Amino acid sequence: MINAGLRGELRNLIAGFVANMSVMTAEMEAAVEGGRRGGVASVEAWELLRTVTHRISGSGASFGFTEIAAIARRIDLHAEATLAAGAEAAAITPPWDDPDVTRDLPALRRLVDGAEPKDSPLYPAE
Amino acid sequence: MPPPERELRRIACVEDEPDLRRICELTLTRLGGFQVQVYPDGPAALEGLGAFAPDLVLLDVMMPGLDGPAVLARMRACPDLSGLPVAFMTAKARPEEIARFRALGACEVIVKPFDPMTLSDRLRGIWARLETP
Repeated sequence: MINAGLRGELRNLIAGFVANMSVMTAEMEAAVEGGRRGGVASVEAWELLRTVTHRISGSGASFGFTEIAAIARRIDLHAEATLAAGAEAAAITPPWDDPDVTRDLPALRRLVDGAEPKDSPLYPAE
Repeated sequence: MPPPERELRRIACVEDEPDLRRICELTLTRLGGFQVQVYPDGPAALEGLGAFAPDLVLLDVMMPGLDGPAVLARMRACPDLSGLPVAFMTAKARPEEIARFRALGACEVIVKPFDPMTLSDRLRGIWARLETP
């Protein structure tokens, strides 16, 4: 028998994870928007995208948010490839002008906004 | 490998995702009744496993810095830790990946996402199989 306290704690943890995905997505949105306004360097924004999407990808899969994990992984790989091409290449195509990012980041936002803690297979049932 | 006829009591969990680490700790402690020690990364685990002396190690595959396979390799090279059974946790569930993890020496591969409510029973099942010749 699972006690109500444990069930509640688990639900809170999963809700916190979902909320944190939104915070991390907002970090990326802020970097891209900041770059568009000239306040964030392109390489810096690419690095942030890579770091954050790498975390979302790994954690999202662990919590069963497979679509979110997949799209985060796509951005992660794209950022990694862009950065691997060198700082100059990363500066030439900043994320705010990159067609993949301008398509995938809003898509990620929609998925994250639509994610519910109970969608996770880890969420304890009644 | 564990000595036979001994109950599974102490579990180490190495997981970099803090919420998942806490979920494992909560369920294994409160549902499973295990003594649990959690570690946020490979170096912390390698430093602490000897003192905690777990019966079984749950080891995340994808971690920054030292990943799960690298931690396992270091454990196997350390006399105090070399015999500890290790179950990998991973979202990489393709058959060839699971085969690779087993070839590295994992006694089991737990695919993410897993049901935390049944994790304790799964670990007891793994333990029972380890004891079976």
